[in-house]
Amino acid sequence: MEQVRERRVHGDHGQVTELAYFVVIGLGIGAVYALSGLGIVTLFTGSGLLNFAQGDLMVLGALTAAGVAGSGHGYVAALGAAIAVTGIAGLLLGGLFALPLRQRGFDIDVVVIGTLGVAITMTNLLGIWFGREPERIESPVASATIPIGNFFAPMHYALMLVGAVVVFFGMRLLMRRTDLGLQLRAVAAGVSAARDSGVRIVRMLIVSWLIAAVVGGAAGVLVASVVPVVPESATMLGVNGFSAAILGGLANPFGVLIGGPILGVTESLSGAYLNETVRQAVAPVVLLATLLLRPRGLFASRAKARTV
Amino acid sequence: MRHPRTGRSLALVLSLLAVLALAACGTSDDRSEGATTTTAAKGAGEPIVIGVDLPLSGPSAGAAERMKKAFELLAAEINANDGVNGSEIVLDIQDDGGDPTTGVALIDRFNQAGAVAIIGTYNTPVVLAQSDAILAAKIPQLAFAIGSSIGEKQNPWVFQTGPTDKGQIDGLIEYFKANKITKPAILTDTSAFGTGAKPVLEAAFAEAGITPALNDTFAVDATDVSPVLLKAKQSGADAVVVWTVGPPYAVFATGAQQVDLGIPIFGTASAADPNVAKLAGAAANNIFFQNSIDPQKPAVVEVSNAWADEFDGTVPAEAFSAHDILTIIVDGLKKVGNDREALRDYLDTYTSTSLLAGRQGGTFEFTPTNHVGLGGGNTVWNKYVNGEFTVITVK
Repeated sequence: MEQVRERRVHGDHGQVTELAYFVVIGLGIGAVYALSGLGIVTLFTGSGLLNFAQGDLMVLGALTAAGVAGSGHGYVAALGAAIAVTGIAGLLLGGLFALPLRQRGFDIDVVVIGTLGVAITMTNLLGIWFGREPERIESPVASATIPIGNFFAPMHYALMLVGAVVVFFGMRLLMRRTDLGLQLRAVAAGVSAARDSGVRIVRMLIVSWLIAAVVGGAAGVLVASVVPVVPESATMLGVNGFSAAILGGLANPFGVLIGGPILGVTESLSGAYLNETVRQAVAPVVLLATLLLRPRGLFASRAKARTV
Repeated sequence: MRHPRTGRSLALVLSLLAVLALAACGTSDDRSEGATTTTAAKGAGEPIVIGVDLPLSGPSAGAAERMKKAFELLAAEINANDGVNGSEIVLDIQDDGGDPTTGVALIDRFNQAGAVAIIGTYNTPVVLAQSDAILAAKIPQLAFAIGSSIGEKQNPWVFQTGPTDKGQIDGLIEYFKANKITKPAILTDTSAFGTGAKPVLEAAFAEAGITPALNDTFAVDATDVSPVLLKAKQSGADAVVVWTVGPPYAVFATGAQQVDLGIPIFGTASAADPNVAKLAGAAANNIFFQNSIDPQKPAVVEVSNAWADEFDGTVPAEAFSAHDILTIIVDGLKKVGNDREALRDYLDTYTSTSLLAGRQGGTFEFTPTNHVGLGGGNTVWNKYVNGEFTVITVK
């Protein structure tokens, strides 16, 4: 009897609402990927560098915020603390990678591989500082849900999507409307030309790291309301962020804003209508396929024309 | 700024990461190494070394850290009371990262350090990999991994505290029969923990005449498990068995709310992980599980108080396990001295009704043919109520 009733409830209308629910869930998961990817794209568009420690910066932000929120302070204070701490980390990383370049010249491969080392070191340090217990930050919309038929999607997913859009437009404003943004774009386009134009390269590189780290910190706080975060979460956040960034185009923040949700919805629908093995394989397969078939990402032509 | 080699380097590194991520689908083994040696007050004789193998990095690191704290606290207490037979206990605590190769190498380390016994570890694949090395080194090992495949190897030097996965599944079947649950959905995680238990669950359910309404898997780090929970709901299942470790139960609790699940979730003993209540709060109310600890036992209360004096937060199940394991070894050392073979023989017939694990009046018992101390019937059923788990009476 129960099964018959279930079938009646889940008729055509039920299937549509079910599909709508999984699309919304996918968009929420995609927002996590977009937020992860935005930090990676931010550094790339501001300096031409890739940062494999972006997931760790997100975890640093999340765990800092969890500590502040756990000690009785509000969400805004926790977000502020996360931004401050990740900002300092960004300055340190920027100094670590940019200052030696003044003496020894620039080798981008060394920096890229160096960020892998930083990622491993940061994961271990985060484990020592914050412990290995999973942390979650209570969302300001924790009790609110989006009703979709008989389903209830967490309202925080919508907040993450809004967060990703806000970060995107903030970056767009900075890059297009400010002198700082112009200098960052000049460095990303070519060091020699930027230097000849009077741009202080090292300073801009450090600023790029600072901005990317702050974006990562804020993203980490948003993500930590739906994903229990431990130091090892950095790998998952980093790989998914790269998948979204590569899919959308590394030089295209708009691309990652779309690439993240595309990945999220694909994963969600794969889990719902295929199986878990397929769902888990979506992000790495998309990453490999994009690198092989369309290395500049889905939005390649637009990326050529503009960076932000 | 963009170097001609950048594209190639980027493609190479990202491809490597993608391949690694693909390879990681279905497993959760991490590895790293670390070392902590704990010593406390000096005794009159030579120090007694006990090797402790824990996955202090990787997916089980949180639980392993809690157990490490508990061992250190207990060792300090023992040493403060003149140690064992006038000798201090030295815990050689090592990290296997959940990696079998590292775990095997640690047996050699403990052997060379003269360890009289080895405690650990959590992960069944690691304990299975260590089996031959343990047999060769002839060191008694007390493992708290729950895989019943460990016992099937019949290694005379390996003992499991239990309950094993088979023991917990037997308890589950008993509960289902008593409560007329006939069509459970089985959801196992894709880590070694879940994949190891999956065939055991399937065989035990088949033997008991229970046909699962759904038999599916999920990733331990899944952000959202509502798709698989919805499948369970639509399969007509009257309960959901979720086989995983600790924090993912919180994700299931929120997922159950999202799809208005309406049927109970049955977890493993690790659903007692304090992070489940911390992360899920009242959403965890639909989760049932078997716990090896009965909180009404006076000895349990005593250990709880000792933990609370030293650390913040809820007393984790690991503190109780650590207490029992060290008690068993120390009892043995007091009776038979520091000889490994004599200690193994002692463990072979060890019986106790005073350990923390098990029901009130229950017996923890090793025999020459049974190296699992706590049987499946010797557990206590718990249910989450308002974000805390509480003992429930079952039929």
